[in-house]
Amino acid sequence: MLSINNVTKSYARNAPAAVKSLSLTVNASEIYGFIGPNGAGKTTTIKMACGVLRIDSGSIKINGIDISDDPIAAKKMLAYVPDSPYLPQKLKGTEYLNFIGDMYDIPRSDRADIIHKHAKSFDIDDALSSRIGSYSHGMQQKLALTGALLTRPKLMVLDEPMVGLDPKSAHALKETLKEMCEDGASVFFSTHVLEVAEKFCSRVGIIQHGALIAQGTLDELRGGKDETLEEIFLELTDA
Amino acid sequence: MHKLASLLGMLLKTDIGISPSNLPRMKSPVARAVTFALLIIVVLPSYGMFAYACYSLISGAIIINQPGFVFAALMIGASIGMFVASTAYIFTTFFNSDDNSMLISMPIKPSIIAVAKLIRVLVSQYLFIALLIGPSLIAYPMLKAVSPLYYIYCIAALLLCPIVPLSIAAILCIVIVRVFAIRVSSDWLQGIATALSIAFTVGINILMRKGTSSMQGLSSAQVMALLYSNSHIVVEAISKSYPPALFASRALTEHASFAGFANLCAYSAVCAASFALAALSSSLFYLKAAISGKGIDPPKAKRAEFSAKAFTKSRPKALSIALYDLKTLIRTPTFAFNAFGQVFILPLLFAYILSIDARGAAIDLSAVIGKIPDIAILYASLGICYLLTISSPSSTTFSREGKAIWISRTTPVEASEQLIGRLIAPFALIASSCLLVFIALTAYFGFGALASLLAVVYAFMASMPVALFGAVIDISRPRTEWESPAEAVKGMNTLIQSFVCIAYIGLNCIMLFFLDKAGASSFVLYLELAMVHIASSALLVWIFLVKYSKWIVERK
Repeated sequence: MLSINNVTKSYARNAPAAVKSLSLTVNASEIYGFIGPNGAGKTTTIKMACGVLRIDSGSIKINGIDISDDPIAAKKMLAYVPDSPYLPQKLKGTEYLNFIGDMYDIPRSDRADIIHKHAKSFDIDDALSSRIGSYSHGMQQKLALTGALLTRPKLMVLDEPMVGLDPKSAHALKETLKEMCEDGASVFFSTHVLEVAEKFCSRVGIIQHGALIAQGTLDELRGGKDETLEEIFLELTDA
Repeated sequence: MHKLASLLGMLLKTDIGISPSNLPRMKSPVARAVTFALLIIVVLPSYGMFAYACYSLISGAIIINQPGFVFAALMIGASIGMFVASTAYIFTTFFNSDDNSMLISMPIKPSIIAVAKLIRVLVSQYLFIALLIGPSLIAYPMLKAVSPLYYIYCIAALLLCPIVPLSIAAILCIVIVRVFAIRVSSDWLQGIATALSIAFTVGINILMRKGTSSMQGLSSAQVMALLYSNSHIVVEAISKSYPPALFASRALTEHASFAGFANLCAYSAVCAASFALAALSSSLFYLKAAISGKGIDPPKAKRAEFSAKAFTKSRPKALSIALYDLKTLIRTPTFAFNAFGQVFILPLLFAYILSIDARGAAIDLSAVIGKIPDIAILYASLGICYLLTISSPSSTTFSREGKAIWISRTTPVEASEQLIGRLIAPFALIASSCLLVFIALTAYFGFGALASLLAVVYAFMASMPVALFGAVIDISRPRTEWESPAEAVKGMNTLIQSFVCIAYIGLNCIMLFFLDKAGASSFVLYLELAMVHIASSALLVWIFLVKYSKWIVERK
């Protein structure tokens, strides 16, 4: 579903690469957790995967479509929620969701049901008629997630999605993402919460200094040892 | 004192780091140089025209023995401009700033924080003041002999100029937040400041009329005699609403005498008193206001039952983008004023002020209009275009979205749909203004229906490339990292668009003038102007589409 091939990105001509020759694949129906220390290149990789950050070299394909060659077609298949999802403060929740629905050509007959389902699971269904400016940070994140889920994406790209969510909403998000994957969609998300990655992801990739230093299922990463993901992470990133 | 200096240093470094004057991030130094050169080419002629206008005004003012008139007028204009532009900025800096939590938790006196923040705002205004008043200050010694003391007085006047309006704005912000304890957002405060400024402008106009009432009914010779008998009569008349302008003006024009020194002292005293009052109100109320939360926290979201009816409409993408844009425009007072105020209210206000004589009666323009040739309609259309687009909302097309800009970057929308959606709001405003101007021209000024129609149709056509340029410049360097909407409006994009608006109108006027001189028929003149507007618009649409496809993917 997501294929990142030998991607490199530098922010300045003589600066060290933020992402170096990174290659990874997220298969259909897979939840891929992307972990790494601060400044490792997680957000850079995610932004390139969503087509909002230019790639210096390499290619990124969403369901076989190169995001640099045909960004509109590629973006139709993915939904992205950044780590700090600023939303238009003067719009109401309903107006924002209708706007997203229009942008992604979601039929009006489907909108209310999808929105009600996800907004209710995030406990914001009764706040949608209010302006977004009156929402708390967590509520805005839930609205951004509802907007992303409304688009029924084939690939969901999330940057630190659990930050700011209350436990009930975090649980609801995990359940929703699992359901999506059962229906054939994929999830690519970054996190610092290793317990979440350990319990929730089909595969995990560890990035450090812009390079992927390990990836695989938890069993593959353990390599036969009885270690937690935290221990594996610390071993790899300290080395 | 050490803490104040250290805090001020930190705040100013932060400001310089996010300067709106930063050029777009370009890798190539050649591209930077070319962009800078292009900016200079666009901006310099327009600014040169302004400087020349100042020179001519000073020259005229000296001839009629009112040398300080231009200084006083510019001081009043700059003060109104700073008061309007900086009220929301002060509010944000004082109460909505990201560094507030950190600073208030530190062992620093609240008055030090407030004074440092006030000085920070003051410093940010000096470029604006220098650009506005500088040409007149330079022109004056070119026309009249001055002593070296004049230059020292100039520096003092420039340094003192923003103190009074900004101190008043700071007191207003603190009083509104603390004493009245009302919920107010920074952009609503901007609206209040703007309304006060409009009232102030109208007040000045009325006072000027009253001030010059002694000249009514006098012959030209008697008026000249009056002007020559008192070299401050006009300055005194226009400064009644803002006395510091009188002190500054007299200090500059009488710098060689004791009167000049006394006026400079008076000006300094007024500035010091207003600053002290702002500092005092800060020390008394700032901390309580900053930690009370009143006026800062938005109201909590109201809970209401989910309604499926809210999701029964779907719209074409361009229309949906236009609605999104219009809602942001209308519901954000700063943007709403920029769009409606400067496109509707201010042109009509100026038209009203210009159209009445000293007795307050409307001038009957019909008699004048009957004598002017067809080409005047084309000149009028360019004049109307100036009023409609000098501060078009198109120059904040993308900046308006602020930090929510990531949504536009990630949604799958074609560039052409973005362009149409983004321009519906500015063009709808321009079209509505054209309608108002048409009504005003026919019903109020006595223009014929056909002449009025031609004037507004050509004004609309002339507005197209200027508004499109606004969208192009905003997509080239959108300013989205703002805390207060005023920061988006105050950005360089609006300024550049204003200069380009003046330059475009000026070039068209020159072209019309020479074609007319060469004996071109009215048909050729009308055709030529229409072609220029259409061709410029087409070129800018193409540039927008190219720029958009580049912008949609960030470099950094």
